[in-house]
Amino acid sequence: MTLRRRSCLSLAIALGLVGPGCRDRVGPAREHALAITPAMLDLGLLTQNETMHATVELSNAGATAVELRAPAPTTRCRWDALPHAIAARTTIPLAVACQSDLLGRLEEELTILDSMRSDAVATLRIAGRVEPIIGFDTAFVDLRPEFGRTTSVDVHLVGKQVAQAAPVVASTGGEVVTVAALSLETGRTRGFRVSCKGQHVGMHAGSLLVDTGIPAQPQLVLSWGCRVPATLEVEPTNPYFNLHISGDRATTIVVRSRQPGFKVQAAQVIEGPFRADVEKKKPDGSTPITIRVKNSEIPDESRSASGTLLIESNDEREPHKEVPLFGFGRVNKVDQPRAN
Amino acid sequence: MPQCSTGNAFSTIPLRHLLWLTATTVLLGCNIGADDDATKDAGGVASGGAGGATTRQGASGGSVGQGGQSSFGGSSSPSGGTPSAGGNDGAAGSRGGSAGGTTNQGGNTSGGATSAGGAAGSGGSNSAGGSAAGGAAGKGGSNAMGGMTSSTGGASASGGATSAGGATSSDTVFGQCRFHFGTIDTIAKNGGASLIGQLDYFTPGWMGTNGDTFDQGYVCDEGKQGGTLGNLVPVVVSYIAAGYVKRHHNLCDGNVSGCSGGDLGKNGAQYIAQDWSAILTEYKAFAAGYAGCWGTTRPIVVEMEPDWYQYTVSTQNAAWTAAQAGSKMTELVNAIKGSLPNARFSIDVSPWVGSNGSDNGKAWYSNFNMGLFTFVNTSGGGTNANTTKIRSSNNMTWSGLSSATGKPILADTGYGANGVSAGHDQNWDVVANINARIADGVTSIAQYNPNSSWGATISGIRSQLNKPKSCP
Repeated sequence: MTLRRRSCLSLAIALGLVGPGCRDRVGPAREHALAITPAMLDLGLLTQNETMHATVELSNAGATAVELRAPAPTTRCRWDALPHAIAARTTIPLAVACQSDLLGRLEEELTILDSMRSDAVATLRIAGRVEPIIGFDTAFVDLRPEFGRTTSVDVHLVGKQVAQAAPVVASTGGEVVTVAALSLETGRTRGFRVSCKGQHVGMHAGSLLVDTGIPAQPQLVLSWGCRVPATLEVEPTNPYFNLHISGDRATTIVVRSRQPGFKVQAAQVIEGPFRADVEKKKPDGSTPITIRVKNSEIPDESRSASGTLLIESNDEREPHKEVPLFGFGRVNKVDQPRAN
Repeated sequence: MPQCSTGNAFSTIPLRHLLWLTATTVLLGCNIGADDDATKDAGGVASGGAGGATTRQGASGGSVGQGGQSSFGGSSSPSGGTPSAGGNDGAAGSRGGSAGGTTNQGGNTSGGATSAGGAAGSGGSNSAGGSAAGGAAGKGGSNAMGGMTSSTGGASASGGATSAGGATSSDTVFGQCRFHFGTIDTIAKNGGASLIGQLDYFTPGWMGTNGDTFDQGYVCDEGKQGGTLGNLVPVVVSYIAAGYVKRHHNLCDGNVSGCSGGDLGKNGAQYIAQDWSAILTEYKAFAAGYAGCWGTTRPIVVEMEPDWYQYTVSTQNAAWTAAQAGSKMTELVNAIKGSLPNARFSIDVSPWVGSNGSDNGKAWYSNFNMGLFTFVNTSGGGTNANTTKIRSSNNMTWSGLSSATGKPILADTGYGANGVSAGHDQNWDVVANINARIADGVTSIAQYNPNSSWGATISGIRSQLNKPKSCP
């Protein structure tokens, strides 16, 4: 962009479109003839947590020497001992160093500045791919079994030192999943089968932890999610009460289920200054539950109150469902008006 | 200069935390309120609340009416005799009865002149049905106190006018269910009792921005019973995942350049994935820290990881899937809940999710266990009080977000472009704006850099605010 602007200015001056004042302010256009070869440095496959070194060439085809400066490093690559200047009509080697702490694609750009003008005069693009010392061939395990069914995904170990690993599961990350080793004929573990049985509805998540036995990468972590669809719905999911309002506060939540013959059997506040009452079932099959704040149990100066509601029903998937309750604001204990 | 542009597809976080400090510094350097007012001759006359409207269905009278604001008497004047006005709340009563206005102070040192009494108390706002009796007269102001030295003493305040009847009844049982106001802890403390009394919550520094270990014991000290902000609810922004990789890999926030490791908008997703185990450990450490000093019964609200969406966009070196983002968020929330069961959670909104927010986040939030979250919140970059859109450059609307998530919205004023303080956002003082946003599902506003009169402003507008959408 800088060179382009300069070219335009040169053209403008030549055509007389820019006055002398502007000419003085801009100064004489200074053409650089610096080039890096190759312009794109492909580092290929790299291993995690190493520093790679490479060399490229910088040539100056111009008639004057150029003083060089490296910008502050903003990438994982840097110039290694960049010379202070390059003489006219010469070519010099430039050393590049890259840190491979970030797995996956490596795409960086390194620039060289003209130290007199702070313009970028040459740019090197760098590409590569960083593979782990040891890792999994996937970043995330997404399991979505139907209720009562089991879904599994196989994950495999990859990386430069995978053959030296002795992987052992340190934690599955949650009871809803089971993890079994996948072994080669040689007996070496090549990966794991992560399974989720759809026994508990909801969106579960956790991380599988595997001890590798490799000092440079002693442990691996792999996030998993397991979604088991529910039939029971509670709306809203997280009842909220504004305690600023006067008198007893109440809100109504609606409970429904896709299960035929659904029935709410009880609703009980198991924690917090709230009271729940199951209302009459509606024609659409839903059952309202009115939750009230127990005014007298909240300290005068409090700005909040929390609790938990337990809904018991004949829903086969979620016969016991806990619902978090939260009241917010400074409690207002002025009696609410009553109808005559 | 780090940037924090509104409506950018990347993080608008950059200087939010820094600005928190800036705002604090600015306020510390201010003379707040009283000294400026000391040059005035008199305090203002307390304005009485507006009378309630007529009830329908034969209301039995209004419930508690909010009286006019107290006016402050004049402060010291160099010579005696400068009038200081007492002014009183002209609060109205409930159900036809009137709670009198409270007495205001007259001048401090010099003799106070006659104080004006409170004006009409407001009538009851909400009726429960029955015939309308109307709110009774608001009690007038009490005598203004005379100055301490050479005082002529304050004269009697005039009585308040009669308030009108109760406000329009709705079919709901309850009266006003009002908005919540919050601000940064240091600002609340510097604002003193007059501001703190108007607040429901405070926001301390962002969690996880300074180190890997719990460093927020001060929040517990501030918010404990008897503490400066005792009884207010801490609403803590957790930036642990972002903070961890920023520290350990020299990353800038998204859309900010100049850091040797790049920025969150490009490398954040992969670094967080690589450091996931350490991040979970840090989450558990902060939760345990809060459990130790705050306890496990008093509520605390955690606003989770601003701009979590940025880790799923194509600029990332290794972008997450939306399902992955949702699953990771569940892990983080569970990491806190494990030792802090009293925590309630809010999920962040980036108003540009999906197709620049056009679906109001519906698709994005379907990847999350929304049962974990009580609220949804904005963070940084400023929000619009006076438009249906959360931000002008994005298509997401307040009401759309509320509908898509089913959650009350905790809004914030954020910061201006380029991380520069936007100062006090007066749009969030305008009753019409707030009422419009209340109708859209917003339940609170946090002013990050309010002016010194914000406490009085809140007091003045509170009674005019409508019932939030999320109220019963």
